[in-house]
Amino acid sequence: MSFVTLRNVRKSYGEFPVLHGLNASIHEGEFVAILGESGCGKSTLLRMIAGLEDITSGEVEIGGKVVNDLSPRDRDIAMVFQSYALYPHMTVEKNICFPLELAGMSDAEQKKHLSRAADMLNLGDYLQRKPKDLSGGQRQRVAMGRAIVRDPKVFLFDEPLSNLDAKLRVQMRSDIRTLQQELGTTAIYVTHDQIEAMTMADRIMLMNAGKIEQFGPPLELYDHPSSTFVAAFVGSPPINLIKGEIKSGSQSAFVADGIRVPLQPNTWAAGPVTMGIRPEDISIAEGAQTANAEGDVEAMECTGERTILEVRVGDNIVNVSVVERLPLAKGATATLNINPNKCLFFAPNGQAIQAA
Amino acid sequence: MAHHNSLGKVLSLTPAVLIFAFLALLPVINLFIVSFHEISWLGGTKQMDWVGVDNYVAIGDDPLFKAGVFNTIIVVLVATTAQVVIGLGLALACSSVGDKSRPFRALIILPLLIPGIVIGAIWRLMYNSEFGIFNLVLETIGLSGHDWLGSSSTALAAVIVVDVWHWMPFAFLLLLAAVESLPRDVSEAAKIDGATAWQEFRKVTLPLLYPAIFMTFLFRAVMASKIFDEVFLLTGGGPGTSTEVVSFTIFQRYFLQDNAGYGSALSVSIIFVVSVIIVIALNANKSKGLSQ
Repeated sequence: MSFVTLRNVRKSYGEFPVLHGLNASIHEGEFVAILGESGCGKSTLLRMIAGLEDITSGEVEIGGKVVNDLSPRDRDIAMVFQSYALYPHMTVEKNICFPLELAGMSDAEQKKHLSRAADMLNLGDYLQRKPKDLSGGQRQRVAMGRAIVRDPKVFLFDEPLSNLDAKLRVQMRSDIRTLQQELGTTAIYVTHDQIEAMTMADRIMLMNAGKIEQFGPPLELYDHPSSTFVAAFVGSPPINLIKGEIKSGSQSAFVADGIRVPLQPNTWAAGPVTMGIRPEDISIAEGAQTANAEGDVEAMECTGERTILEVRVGDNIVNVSVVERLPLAKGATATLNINPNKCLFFAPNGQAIQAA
Repeated sequence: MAHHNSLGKVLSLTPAVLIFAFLALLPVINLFIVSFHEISWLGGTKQMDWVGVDNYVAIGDDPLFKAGVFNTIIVVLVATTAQVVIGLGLALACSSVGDKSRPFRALIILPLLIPGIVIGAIWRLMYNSEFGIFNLVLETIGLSGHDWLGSSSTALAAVIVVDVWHWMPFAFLLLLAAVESLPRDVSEAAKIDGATAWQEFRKVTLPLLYPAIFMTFLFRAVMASKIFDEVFLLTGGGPGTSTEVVSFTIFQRYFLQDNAGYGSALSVSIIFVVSVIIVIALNANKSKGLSQ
């Protein structure tokens, strides 16, 4: 059942439209990541759900109640800000208890909630410190504590990990997800980091220029992107998008400059397309294997775990990611095997094409 | 190496220190020296007679100075409080309206730009018992007029009103800068945490503004303790001693009565007292940890 519902939600600043009629249903207890580039409207949407931005038209519903005209304090939500937005003049304890104090809770009750939140977030040693005396990770946990302490209907996260270093981010990613699962509270998490979205979310709402491009589980976006935008946004190194043509008939194949990938006969309609193929679905052909393409290695990165190659094939640069540590050097010729079962095809307008 | 660096820093500061000493300290030192003398003119020649601490002892018996101190304290407390409270209210209002408040901001700071002499003219007209606007309004609603500047019961209040009108924009500007630099997301967090507008102001905005409010109050209090223009232009310290303030006492003793030694002693005393108050206030502020 839908817990947070967006119905034709629009936002304009004067004449300038920012969100173009969004529709979505978020289920109770679900963790949804709103993913997109800077300026796509994801933070605006979150702020509209929070009540910090007016809704130009449409409806936002939380827990079965339309909240358009409710102030933030009446929406029963909690938000973790990118800057953490802690109260600098209050101690950690006061920061966490502030929502409870405002709700008129007794001191004894506040202490009980505080100690539960502090235990969950390992904040027990810092309760009497002020935010300026804490590290970034500790401040982040205090912001989390302030959010969870009053058991809201929905958690809203606005890029809460952007200010942390890479190692801490990985740790906090897992901590936030575990905490959300323990509490079972619906969470909406804005991020521009696809790894965060992929690893944390039950479903990802991928936004582009004020519209929802695709809304589904992370692997659905990865394996079955609805458009070239989704395909290109999700995955690192990025998917190869190669313009070419599908030849039909018994010799059905995708053909582009220097590339030929045989396809199942009569599966795809003939015509101009863009083929999408993930770097890990291309391998280096060895010995007598039939190659789909051949080109010169322009760059090679070895991460230790994988080898990532950039191979020039005709007009295209093809990214290849393999597990093997290859003895190829820059300028060497590489022959490529493209897995035909993993090929995705997109119409010239960028939308995905389904097999017949 | 470190020693060499610190020596370099000291040397590089020397010119600035010398200029400061010349411009600020030298006149005060000169004032201090003069305060121990009685100065007279004999046949066009200056005569400086050493009188020790006599000038300082005389301060205690000066009825004008006592009245001046009392009135100055009232002016400082009342005018400064009013300026900070009104300035803060207007700063919060303008900040919440945003860019649309720009014309109002310009209007609010207008009194600050008006020369003191013009302010004297404006307010003398307004307070005039015959045709001043206050009395015209009172008479229109059937009440009798009042001699605002000529009556000892209202003269000091009338001077304070003018000082508030003149200098409130200064407090407004300082506090507006502080209000505008408050982090927006902290205020939004308070709203989401369940704060009403009053709770947000009382528990978040006001504590965050304390350092700015304190500094504005201190700054304005120091300036108000030097009040002179308004008194000189509106009342001349009267009626009686009802609007006598310390700066005006110094003016009378030093310039009108040509008593440079005693005037200097009064000046040194005022500089000393104000400096001590500033140091105590700053330390109190520091120990409370308000200067974030």
